[in-house]
Amino acid sequence: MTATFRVFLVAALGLSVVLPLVALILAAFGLRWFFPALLPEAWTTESWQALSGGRLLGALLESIGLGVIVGVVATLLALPTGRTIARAQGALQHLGAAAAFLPVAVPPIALAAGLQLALLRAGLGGTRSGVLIGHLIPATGYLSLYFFGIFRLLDPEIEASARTLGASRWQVIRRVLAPILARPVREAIALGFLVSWAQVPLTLVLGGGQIRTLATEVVAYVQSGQDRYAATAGLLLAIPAVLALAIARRSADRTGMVPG
Amino acid sequence: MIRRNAGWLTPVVLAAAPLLGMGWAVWAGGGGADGDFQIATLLARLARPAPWLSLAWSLFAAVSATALATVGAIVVAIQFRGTSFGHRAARTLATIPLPIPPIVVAAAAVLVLSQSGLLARGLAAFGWVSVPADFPALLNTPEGTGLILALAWKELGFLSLLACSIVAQLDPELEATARTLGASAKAARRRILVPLVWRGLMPGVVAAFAFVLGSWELPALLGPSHPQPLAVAVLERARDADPLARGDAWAAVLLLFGAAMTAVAWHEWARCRQ
Repeated sequence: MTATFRVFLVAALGLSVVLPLVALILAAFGLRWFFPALLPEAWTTESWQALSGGRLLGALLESIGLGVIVGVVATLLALPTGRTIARAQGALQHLGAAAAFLPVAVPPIALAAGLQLALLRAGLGGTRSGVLIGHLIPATGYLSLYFFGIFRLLDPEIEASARTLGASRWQVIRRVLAPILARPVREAIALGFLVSWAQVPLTLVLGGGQIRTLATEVVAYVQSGQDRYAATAGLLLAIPAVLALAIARRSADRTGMVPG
Repeated sequence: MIRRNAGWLTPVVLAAAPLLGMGWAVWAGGGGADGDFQIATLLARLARPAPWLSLAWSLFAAVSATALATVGAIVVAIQFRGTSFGHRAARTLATIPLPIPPIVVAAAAVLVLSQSGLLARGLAAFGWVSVPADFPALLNTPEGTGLILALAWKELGFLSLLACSIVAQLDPELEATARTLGASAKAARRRILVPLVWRGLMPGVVAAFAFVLGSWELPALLGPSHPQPLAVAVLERARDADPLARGDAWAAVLLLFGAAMTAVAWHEWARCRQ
């Protein structure tokens, strides 16, 4: 019974992964795919050729640019934050963790609607800078919780011992902390990139339709019934995300928090 | 002193951004955006049934999807805790949805679950479906079946990753001791493993629930048009020409902020219990 149940579970899990992937690939390359045909009548790379120029390429570059900046800046902000929260005691630590969790828990659409007025008044409505600020808020929240988890596992005595042995503050950072934190920092940049990469509501509202990323293009393509372009953009969005699975797995093991 | 406290600047700013957003929403919800803020306006907008109906529907979808994903994650973590290839493959398959962006899940769900989607075509190949209308409508329906399934699949990745990590850290002697004391394998799983995994998983379940409740991408593409899911109502009603509908948008924003605050308090409470 248990063995049969396990086989059924593996089959169900496999189908739940394979079906969406196959559907995206068939839609991205298929031409004249009418019901009830399982496969399209012909194949095309027309939507992929759009990557050599035009709207899809622009959206891809926008997504990459925003993701890289968000990943790096959010990591720079979150590292000291996570350390400070981890080193705090009692109620102060809970308050710090709650403050970091708040921008993660607040739905992006509510955050965007709330921030839109403030950014419009600051002259940042519909600008790349406004969208960047919007993306940075949840990304920094996620990464602060991530570094909170990292520093909770890191013995604070390591730093204290190095200082006792005569190391300066800079030497502690360069010789002790940097080697330990090199991998978590790389992982954090990747996670921050992913938070921005998948973001839709903040980009739609704060970008005011002026800033088009790959994720917002998928919305536009699906809503206008352009399945081939939606599937192509969807596959492009999924590839780096799936490649980052291993990174996200390690992060979750450490912190219990990963981007949804 | 300043240097010592500098690390607190970011958490303060992080908490301030959503709080500022909520402040703006209160102000705009009270008519401040039109130049006439009044508490009575805010209360009147919050008393309208539309945002509450949206909240009730979103809560139904979020509870259903989170419950499905939680049960699925616990089953995967307990059934596949070995080191064999099959067990590792099952754990990997369960965690694949984790990094997939929600908008990609929504686009794929349209291609798989719609009445002319891959699932309907597969059934047509067996002769069980002849026209798209023979396949049950799963998307954009008030029952939200397709949306709940897609949300549950997306959350399964996150929750099964956490559940597997919790099971890996459990002392195997606990279950062995229960078996020595006469408990059947099923009873040992139900009475020992499941409660321990559930306790460890609780903060993750709260985080997943908060994500699902406020998610926009999946409800926007797969959810019903009436009642509108809460997150979708924010954007749709904000663009409405009717001032009453625009008021509903701000009420919906405030309800989402309220739900998020509750989730934060719940998450910290669950973390403290661990």
